[in-house]
Amino acid sequence: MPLTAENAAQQIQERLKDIQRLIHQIDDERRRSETNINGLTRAQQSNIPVQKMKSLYKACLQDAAVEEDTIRKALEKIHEIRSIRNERRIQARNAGNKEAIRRGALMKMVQISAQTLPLFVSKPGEKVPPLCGAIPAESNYIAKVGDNVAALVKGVEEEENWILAEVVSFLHRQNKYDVIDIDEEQKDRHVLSKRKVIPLPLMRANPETDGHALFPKDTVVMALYPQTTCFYKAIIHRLPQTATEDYEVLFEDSSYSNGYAEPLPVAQRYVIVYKSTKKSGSSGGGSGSVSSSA
Amino acid sequence: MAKSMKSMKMPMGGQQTNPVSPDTESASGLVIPMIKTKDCPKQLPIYTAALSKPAEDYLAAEDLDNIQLELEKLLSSVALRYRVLKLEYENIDKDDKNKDKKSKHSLQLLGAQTGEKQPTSPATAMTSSGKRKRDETSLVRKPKHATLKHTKNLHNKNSPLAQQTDDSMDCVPGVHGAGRDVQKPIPAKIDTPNKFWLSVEPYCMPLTNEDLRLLDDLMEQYNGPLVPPIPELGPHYSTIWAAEDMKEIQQASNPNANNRLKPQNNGGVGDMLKKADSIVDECVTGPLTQRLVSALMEEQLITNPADVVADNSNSSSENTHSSAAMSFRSLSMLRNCIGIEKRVKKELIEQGILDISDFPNNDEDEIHAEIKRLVGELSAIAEHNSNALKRLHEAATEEIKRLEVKRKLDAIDQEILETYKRTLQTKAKRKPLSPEEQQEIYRLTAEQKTLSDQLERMQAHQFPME
Repeated sequence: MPLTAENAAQQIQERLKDIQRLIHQIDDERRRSETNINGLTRAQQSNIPVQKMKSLYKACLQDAAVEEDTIRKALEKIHEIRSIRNERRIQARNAGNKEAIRRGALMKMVQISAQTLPLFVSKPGEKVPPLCGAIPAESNYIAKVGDNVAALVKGVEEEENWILAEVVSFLHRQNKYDVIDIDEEQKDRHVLSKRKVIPLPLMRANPETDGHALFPKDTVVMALYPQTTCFYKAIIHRLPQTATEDYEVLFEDSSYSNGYAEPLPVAQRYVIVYKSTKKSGSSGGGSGSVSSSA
Repeated sequence: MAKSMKSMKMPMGGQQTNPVSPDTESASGLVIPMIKTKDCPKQLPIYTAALSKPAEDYLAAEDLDNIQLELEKLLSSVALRYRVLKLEYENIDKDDKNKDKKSKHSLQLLGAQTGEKQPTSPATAMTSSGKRKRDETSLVRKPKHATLKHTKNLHNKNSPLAQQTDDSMDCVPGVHGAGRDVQKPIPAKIDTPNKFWLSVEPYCMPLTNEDLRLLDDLMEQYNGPLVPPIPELGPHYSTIWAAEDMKEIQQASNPNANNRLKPQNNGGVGDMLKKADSIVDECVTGPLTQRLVSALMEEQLITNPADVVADNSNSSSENTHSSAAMSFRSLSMLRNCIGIEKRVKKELIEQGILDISDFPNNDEDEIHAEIKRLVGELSAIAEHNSNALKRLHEAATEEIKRLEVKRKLDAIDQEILETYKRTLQTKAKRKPLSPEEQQEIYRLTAEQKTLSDQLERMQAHQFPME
């Protein structure tokens, strides 16, 4: 059922209200946790029986669990709001509402979408799901409509580039994706086989809890060159230390003596596994050579 | 929005990456990640702002992104806290169940120091000042139950202290298999230098008189002549064999052969002939005799050709086996002919006709030459050896003298040390030194000096190596 503007707005408002409520709840729980932890600290300094100690710990653990739960709920709501908005956008586009987006605004959007990508925080013992951080998608995964992907498209001079694109639809019979360059100035729409489409991560990995879900240092990857919408071959230079930090990568650049440029920051969302192509689609990397969308 | 974006990009107080904490913090132990209430405005501004509005209100839509980030931060903190607490709980549980096990690994959890430390450290300072009394009592227990700190935790790690303990156990050889319950690992006994010095010791020991005696014995070898002098050339082996054969035959034919030396000569003609033959071959054929006889013969040649012919035939038969007619003559000749060569030689030398130097050394043959050569080599080597031994002997005697001096010096050193100790004691008692003691000291030091000088002089002698 198509989402009307009013409907969408209403749903969003509902959730905003929920979030507000949840925030208050979170704070209450947080305070309670804090009190208990303070008590625990004091108890540790004085010599109390082990059993009592254990019960204190248990209480704190419970508080933490409850708090975590509430926070997750709040984040879930936020996520829902985003998906509603996204749906609206897609619908608007399909309805033919093509608003021209300036380059600056486009880049901003790209940046924001990376920053607000949901963060995955694993529970103890939980495994990091695919399409979170460096974890690749399953082989039979099909990107959803509206998902961002890296697509290998042919340029005007027969060169191939990996560009940032959005999935329009998946053609089951042909096993092909219908993708569109996010830079709508191009008004490029491509139909590509599954091999030429790499879905971008749907979640960020939290370095504090799931550092293993990040690309290790010196891995060869494909990364979105800053201020462009093209992916180029690069090497991981530095990992993000917190959930909001970016990778630092070294793009290939023949104008530098060692073949690689200075480290540049790239968000987790735009760092994907390196896929070599026959025509080395990552040719012309770095050094200001901009994508076909330039 | 821009402002909040900026704040997002800047490393916020709580999220500064600093995995290594300063030592002071690590020592205090357990860190539970937590964003305290008083830090909220700084770390979670939007969140705090939202809190200021009532719960029934709507969250501002533009705050959505920021709230998301802040909530994620909270979530991360909670998740880490949960892990930390869980670990702690399990450890206490384990300790409780197994009281023998020392939990030195577990309770020391290191928290990452972050910028948040600044706001929290005054907090902890405050709390610690309040708990100072308790701190003192709990100092004993500090390694086990350390003070909790509220900071944002990056990784749950064992403290360097615990790690060091673990690592030190790992590095020690031989303890690894013994399990981690060994209190203090014994470092492996390193024996190699001892073995080395033991092996070298025989070569470095001080010399003794026994060594001198050994050298003397060795030298004796070279004193006498190395090989006995080369004997004269004995009778040709054919002669000896012939003689032996005759003996055997005679013994075989005549059982009383032992007593018959004389009649042996007058034995059968055949025997005589054989004997004569052998003797003739031996005695008469010396070159000097030949020359003499030939010279004499030639003279007679002129006077009496018939005699010459007869004599020629006679002389020509010298080297051949004589006939029976000859046998008589040869026999009579023989009696005079034994050693004739030598007698002729002697006469000639005495007469002054010939000189010893004219005679080529007819003792020469290959074996003789070979023997002479070898003897020459041996004597050269022997000389070299005996020289070396002599030098060694000299050096050894020197060394022994030197050792003696050294021993005396050591004794003096000991005495000086004793005296010094006594002097110190006396000084400690603040008593002046008695004159006898002073005398003693001077004497000892003077002696030490002389001995030392003597040693110096002796050490100047170097053993020359070829």
